[in-house]
Amino acid sequence: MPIPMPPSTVAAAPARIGRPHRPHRSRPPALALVVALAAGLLPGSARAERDVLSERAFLDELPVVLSASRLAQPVSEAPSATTVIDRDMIRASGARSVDELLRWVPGFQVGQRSGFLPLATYHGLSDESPRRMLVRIDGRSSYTPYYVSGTEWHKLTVDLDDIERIEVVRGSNAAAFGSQAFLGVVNIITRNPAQSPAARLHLAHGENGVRDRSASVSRRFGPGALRLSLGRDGDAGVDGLADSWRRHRADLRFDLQLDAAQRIEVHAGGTRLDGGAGRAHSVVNPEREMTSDGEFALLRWRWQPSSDEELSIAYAHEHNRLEDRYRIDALEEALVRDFGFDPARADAALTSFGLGPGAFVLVDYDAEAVREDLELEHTFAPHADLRLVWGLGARTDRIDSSAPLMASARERYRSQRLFGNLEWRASPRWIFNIGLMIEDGSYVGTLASPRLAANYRLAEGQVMRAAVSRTARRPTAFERRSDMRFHEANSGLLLERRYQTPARLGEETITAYELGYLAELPRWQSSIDLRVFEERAESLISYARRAAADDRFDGLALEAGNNADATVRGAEVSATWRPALTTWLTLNYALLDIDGTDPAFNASAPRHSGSLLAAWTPASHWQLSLAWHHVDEMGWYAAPDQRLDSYQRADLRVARSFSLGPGRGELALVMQSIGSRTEDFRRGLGNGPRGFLSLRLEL
Amino acid sequence: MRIGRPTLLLLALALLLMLAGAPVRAQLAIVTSAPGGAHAESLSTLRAKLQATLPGTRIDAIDWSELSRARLDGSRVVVSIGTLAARAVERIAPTQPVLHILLPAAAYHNLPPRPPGTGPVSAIWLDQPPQRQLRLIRLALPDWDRVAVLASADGGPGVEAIRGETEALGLTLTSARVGSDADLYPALREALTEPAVLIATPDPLIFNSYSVQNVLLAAYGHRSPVLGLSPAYVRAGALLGLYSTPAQIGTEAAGIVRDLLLGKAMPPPSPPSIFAVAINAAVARSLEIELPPAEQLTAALMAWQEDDR
Repeated sequence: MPIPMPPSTVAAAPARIGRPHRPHRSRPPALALVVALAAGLLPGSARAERDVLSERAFLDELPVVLSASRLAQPVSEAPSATTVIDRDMIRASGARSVDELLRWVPGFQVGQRSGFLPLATYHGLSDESPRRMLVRIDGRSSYTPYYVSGTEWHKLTVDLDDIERIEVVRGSNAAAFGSQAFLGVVNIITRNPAQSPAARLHLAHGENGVRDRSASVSRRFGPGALRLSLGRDGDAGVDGLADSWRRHRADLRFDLQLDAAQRIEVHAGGTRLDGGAGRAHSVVNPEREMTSDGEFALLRWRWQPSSDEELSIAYAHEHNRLEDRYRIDALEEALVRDFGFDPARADAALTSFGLGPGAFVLVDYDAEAVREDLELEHTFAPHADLRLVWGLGARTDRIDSSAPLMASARERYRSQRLFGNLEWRASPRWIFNIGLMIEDGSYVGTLASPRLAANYRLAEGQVMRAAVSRTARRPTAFERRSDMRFHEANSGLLLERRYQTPARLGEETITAYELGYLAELPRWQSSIDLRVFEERAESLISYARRAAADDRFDGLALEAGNNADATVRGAEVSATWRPALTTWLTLNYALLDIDGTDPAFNASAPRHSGSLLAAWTPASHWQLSLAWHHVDEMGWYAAPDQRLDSYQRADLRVARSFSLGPGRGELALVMQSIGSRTEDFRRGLGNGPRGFLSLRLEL
Repeated sequence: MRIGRPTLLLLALALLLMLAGAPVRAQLAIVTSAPGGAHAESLSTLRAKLQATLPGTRIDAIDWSELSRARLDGSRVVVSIGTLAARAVERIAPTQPVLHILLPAAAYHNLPPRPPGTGPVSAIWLDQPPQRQLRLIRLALPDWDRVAVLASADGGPGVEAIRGETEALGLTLTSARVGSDADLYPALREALTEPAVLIATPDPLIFNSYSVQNVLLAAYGHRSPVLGLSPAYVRAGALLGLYSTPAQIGTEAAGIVRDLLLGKAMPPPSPPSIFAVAINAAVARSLEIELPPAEQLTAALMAWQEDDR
């Protein structure tokens, strides 16, 4: 039997058998609706009042622009360790997608399972489908509920150029974001459309089939601003896999200021990815084409009477689909190649099952998930020294699969949440944060995730932070209800049971203690962020092979259980010297030691890892940036023979910006994995060295 | 000289009335641009302050659209509130002294020249003097020595005036030109290449209720604080605001009107001398800037202004 492997989060299908049945195919006309709204219902393009002689500039009311949600909390005042990745860093990194940027956050592990299946987690504790970290875009969770769950990075519709900043919360933050923020949170904040250039064009072209094209337009309509970004990306995937992919994406944001205090935001988008999946020489997981697509729309109303107070209500609807169906005809070969039977035994086995030469299996991973989420959040300052954020929310995930992948073909997952965080500035030196999230919903009862943090200002620009938190994570729908069976198509005979439903499955918990030190040294144009931590994870959910009486191949099935405890101890340090916005040097280092009951978890993070990101403007219009990483040996897989050797990776980017008529542009050469290829997921699979050219034009 | 009895009686009566604190039978016409809002606030403060210092003063409030020469007959002083009212008054060119308030300096300078034989004219405009703005930046943000200003293609109001004052205070000014809405963001980027205190100017091409969003977001993105010209700016996200409220201008106008009614000369047009400073604590916190309390900044600026006199 090969490595125990849950089906791909986005699985696969070459021997495609016609168009698969796609339940509930109606697409929410989110995009069309929003465009129509923007085009038709907006007030006429209001010209700025050009009468210089009016007193209105002095007397008019103005909308609250820097509202509580727009104002970034200084890292030194945050109750958790936070790394901010800004636009300049995104640009200088040469990254083509958000996940790549996490390489420059201490304590993160990033790998490439296939060309379009990047993996990212914080502090290990993950298999090849990380699901203990939350990614949010403008407040919307991008956590996909089907299959093994987690973040489908390729479903992020956001264009890197539209990102204002990424705030990475290192450590559990369930008190603010819910139990999916078990190990960390990546908060992506996009630019207000009013700030986006009127038009932007970006092309990237290079080795390994890198072909990225994107275009974006933005317009202001009086009190409204609209941005539409479209893109088509793709490359030839990872060396060693037939996983070339093409992705189309659209992302729209529309902001409308109703009056001085009220604002409406519409976010909508969609993606469609076509890519190769499967392995060469595998019968049960053959090389094939698969499709993953989805759309979302979010409507948010904000009431912002001042920079201190904000009330928002958001409704989000999201629809994700996966199409991956194929047929296995060579059952005997499957037993030999994929289940390790010797040929004689395989033949005997099939005969004993009464299966003749015409027998075949239809593998159907098609699934679709519809999410609805409603959230209310209120921030206000009940007193000059107090700031309270509280809110409540409800979410429903409806997961349909055309072949049973779970105990029920139509699975419902509901959760409700009530959360609050009180920030108390007890004195100019002390800030205390008390937070609590209470979640209730399917599978397990009410869970509470509290957090307590104290920040103490040692001296000007120097802060110590101590925090303790406890987070409880509910099982995902797949963990709790997985029941994946494969039948012979003609006879209906159950052959293999890959997953079975556990009799009981509880929540997993993590109790985290941390001590942090932050120093801003303006004299040296530098900052230092140091953190030591201990995270005690208990009842961690993992898949283990358990007896399955009706499995005819090996009598075993994967079953989720609260199987392991693990303690993660370590330290992280990040130091930045930034003499100018476009010139800096950042060094990150993380020491991680995982000690637990499961050797796979113990090896799930590198003991030492470090990175460097430097940018330099040697002459006007030129920018040079260099990135480097070192990652000690680690493993995304359970099996010791699948562990990765330690590796290093170096990237270089040279960019020249220029003026072009009324606009401006930038031409850049990016070279990745210079000198050697990088294997960051599994031995034998890797990328690089590769280079590509990028051209960006803005008006 | 012989004084007749009736004359003597009248004089005695006048003396008696003056001793009893009888009002000077003055007349004031106030022409307003709008019936409510800031204009009404200036009007009511002016009225109240004047009634307190010269009780019994008869005040006639006239909407600018109903203004005629006849309506001003009998008034000794005319006050206009707002640009529309100022223009309406100047069309009539009254012979009485005229004080325009609650209008930008640019609007005042743009009023038609007065024909000969008309009364003296002056104004308290809304614009704060650049020196006061820069002094506030020095007081509130002593570590910041860069200021930035955006200017319309035609120069826009106020930019040159600010430029003239920066050097004396040890500040460096960067400015960028904005030709159209589309230029705004590139201009902001140019002006804020290095973080600087962005001074909002009363140029509606650049700072209107739609573009203010861009301005404040871009400045914030460049970690640059904004000095706004109204409390609305501070509420919207400017770190600092320096302004005179309609009530403060009404109060100041009441002082001038009283002096005029008591026979003093018309002062030259000037920026307001009563003002307020406001700060946005949430923005200060986010930008990690420590600011003295607004009251302390106002008092320090006032003290500096007194010393300067």
